[in-house]
Amino acid sequence: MTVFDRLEAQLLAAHPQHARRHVPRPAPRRIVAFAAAAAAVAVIAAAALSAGSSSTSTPAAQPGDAVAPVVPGKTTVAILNSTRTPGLAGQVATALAKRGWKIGSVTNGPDQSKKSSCIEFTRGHAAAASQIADQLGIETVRPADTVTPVVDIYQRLAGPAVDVIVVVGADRAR
Amino acid sequence: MIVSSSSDEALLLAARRDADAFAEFYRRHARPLAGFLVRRTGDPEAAADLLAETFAAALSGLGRFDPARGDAVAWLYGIARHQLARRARRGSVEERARRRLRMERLELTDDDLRALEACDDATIALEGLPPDQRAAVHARVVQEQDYAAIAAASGSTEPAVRQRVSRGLATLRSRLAREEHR
Repeated sequence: MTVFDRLEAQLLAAHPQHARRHVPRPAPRRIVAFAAAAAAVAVIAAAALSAGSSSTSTPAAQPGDAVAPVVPGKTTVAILNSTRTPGLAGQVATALAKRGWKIGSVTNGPDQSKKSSCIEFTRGHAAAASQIADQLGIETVRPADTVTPVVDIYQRLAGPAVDVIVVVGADRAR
Repeated sequence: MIVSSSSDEALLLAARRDADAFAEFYRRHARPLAGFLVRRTGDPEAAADLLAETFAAALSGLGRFDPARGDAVAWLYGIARHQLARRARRGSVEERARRRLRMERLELTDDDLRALEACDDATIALEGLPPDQRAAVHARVVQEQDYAAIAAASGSTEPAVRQRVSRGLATLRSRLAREEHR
């Protein structure tokens, strides 16, 4: 990251739109979180049973994840090319569009030296992220907020209305 | 939705609520402004501090930007000149805006210093051009906007913008050729 990228990240973190997010929140209400997690497990189990043959691995539900069935046409996926190989993000976008996902930003990631691809999801989209991970054969799936505690640079590049972000690394340049 | 063809003024107005609009404005102007500051201070480290303080002050002062009183770039450079003047008076770069936003001072690597100095070269080259050519070359070459967008933003026509860009680039080429012969 150049000095310009770092300053940009600082400024964005300080923008009221983001700064507000970092006001300390009251402690999570455990019962609700537990109930949501339990519900998520139930839905996933049901999905796995009904899907039968398909093997779906899903990351642990995040507290606060809304549990809703995955509708690819209503799930916006952004794709960030984090390699120096041009066109990789476009290839992934085409593959996902064929499977019915709604494609959002397709653009360059903040750095062009990522070795392995990963997928991030915003709140409520863990199940969609894991479906996409299976379709693309990407192992790393994580919630979007954990990358940079101050401001998630992937999420910012991907745009405000994004549900799932695919960060394309060099492992897809084959 | 912020489109890359939005005018600077529209971006600053949107930026009051939309961080992405501010980011777009920053990306358009950070490097040229850094070049200006490196040139004025002769010191890339001070320029980086001034750049950060200027954008921090701009972010804090978005509510005070009034397009009726001048364009967005003039407003930004006005803040930068104010910071330059304060530095000249006090001998150090103001930190007030950064402190208020809890922005830490940027640590600079050698690569950062080189990147800052490179901005200066580009500014020097552009500064000698007539303002309309400079704006057109900057929009086309530095910001990579398309001709239609530049024409729309500057209230001009596409052929006129093309002509400005090509004349500006021709001037730059002949100037660089002259410098090489020195």
